[in-house]
Amino acid sequence: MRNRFLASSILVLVAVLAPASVFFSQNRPQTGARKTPAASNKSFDPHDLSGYWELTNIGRPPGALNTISNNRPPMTDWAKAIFSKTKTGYKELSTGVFPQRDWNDPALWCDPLGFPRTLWTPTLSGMRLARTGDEVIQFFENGRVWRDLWTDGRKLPTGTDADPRWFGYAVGKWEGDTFVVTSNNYIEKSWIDQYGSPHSDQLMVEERYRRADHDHLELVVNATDPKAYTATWKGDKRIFTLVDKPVRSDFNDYPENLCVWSEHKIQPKS
Amino acid sequence: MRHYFVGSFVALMAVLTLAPTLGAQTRPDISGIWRMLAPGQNRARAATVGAGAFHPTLGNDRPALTAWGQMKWSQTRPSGRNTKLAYVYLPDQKDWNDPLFLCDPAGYPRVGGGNSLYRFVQLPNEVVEFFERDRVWRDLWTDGRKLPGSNAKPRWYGYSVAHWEGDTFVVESSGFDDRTWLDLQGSIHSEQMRLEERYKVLDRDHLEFSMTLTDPKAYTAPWVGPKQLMERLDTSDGVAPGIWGKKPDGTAYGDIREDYCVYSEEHSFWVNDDPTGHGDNFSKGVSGAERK
Repeated sequence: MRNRFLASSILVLVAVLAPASVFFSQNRPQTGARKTPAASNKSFDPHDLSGYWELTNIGRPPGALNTISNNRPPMTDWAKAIFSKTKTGYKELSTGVFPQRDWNDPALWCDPLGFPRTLWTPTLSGMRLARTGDEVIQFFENGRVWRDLWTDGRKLPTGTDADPRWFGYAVGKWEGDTFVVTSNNYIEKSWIDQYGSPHSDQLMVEERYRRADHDHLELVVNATDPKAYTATWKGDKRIFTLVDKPVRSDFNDYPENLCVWSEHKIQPKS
Repeated sequence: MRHYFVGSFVALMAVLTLAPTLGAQTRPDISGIWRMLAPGQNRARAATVGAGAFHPTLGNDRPALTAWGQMKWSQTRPSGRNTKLAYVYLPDQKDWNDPLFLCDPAGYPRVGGGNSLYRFVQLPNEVVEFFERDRVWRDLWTDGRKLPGSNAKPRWYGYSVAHWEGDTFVVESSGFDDRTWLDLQGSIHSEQMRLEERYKVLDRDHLEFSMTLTDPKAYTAPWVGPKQLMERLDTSDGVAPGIWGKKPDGTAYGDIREDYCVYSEEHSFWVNDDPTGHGDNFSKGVSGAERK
């Protein structure tokens, strides 16, 4: 009986640890700067962002973390209180390194990642952009979610009637050759990154996309949240590369990269 | 000669002018937000959709199960009380093993059940189908690719290709993960399940939908769903009115809601709102198939 219990315990431990280690091992800080890519000579329409884009670590400095940037602004007292309850296995930007049994990242039990975290968790994301008459649709490989980036002239909801969303409400417009997306009304339960960086329901995200050449798309994410941070969290420039088809595809499309709770079997704390 | 030239020019202009219209007639554009109405209902409103103990896409006329299907079905402990489709109904929720209670992916076709709205967007090489529930999408490829073979990695939402047959948009799907249920009553399927969906364009605002499930490993005959009406909506009634303002023509900007199954919230719901008093339905932390 005891051996049976021991064997069961080991199996459960393996089941719990294996997915978690896979989940987090892909999110290490960068150990060396990647060179800026050579410009492509192919012609392109700077206002057409359509295609499958792979997020890279090109151009990022050593030690760059999987978040908006390493330069997170100081938190307000409100945010400090939220942040102090987070427990992760990271020493960077976090509250300390905790044993795995104490981690309370909501991603561990498959709560929606929300935006912008889905950009860089659990893997450097594949992102597809498609243009229609009234929007740019943004498809993410992570979690198989999409966002509507409305370009039809509507304004962001500013009242209290709009239900907060994990992926917010977003509108986009062109400023020269830069596609600027602003979004708001985020559910404040999501983390901005794997380090537990919090946000409030006042979070406003600005994304600035610019097609540098045919094969490369630049993105800068800036987050403003006066309830949580004392200044705007300014993002590093991130670079996507254009691919003919998703790298991990088996059908020339995005594979299903869904978080399945019954496969993770990690029980959240009450 | 001059008149001949003028006549030819007029004829050419007429063809060019009519071409978009003719094209639209042969390839209707089903882009938009759609609501599936319950079988037999005409222009009914949302309150009645999904009500009652039937699955709105396949209906109650489920064929007989194979021995394999019977064995798999006998492991289900659904919360749905439809006695015709449910293997058993147990009053204590602690005994239920619906994978949705763990917020596992609903999969297709279940994701379209209940009152979840659909949105279609026409792209150059596919029609994308968006769902309110779980904010997932399906790619319905129209670029000529073929469904993958039996060695394709199973997916919760399968693989889909589509084509037009006159005024009907036909979608064929395969490669489904057999862990999903088809409905609240626990109807099962195998990895051999194939679906054919037919969306017939009745007019700009109405589609006639039907679905046929073929799964020789699980069922002794195809499961032919009822014909159902779909109606076009300007926007989802799950989105608070007026939050996006109005278009210049006075109509609402289209949007569909974000309707996630959130594990941490489901967990709290079942623990805190437990009519049986048995408490935590998730404490064992195991999947539906193991909770028997």
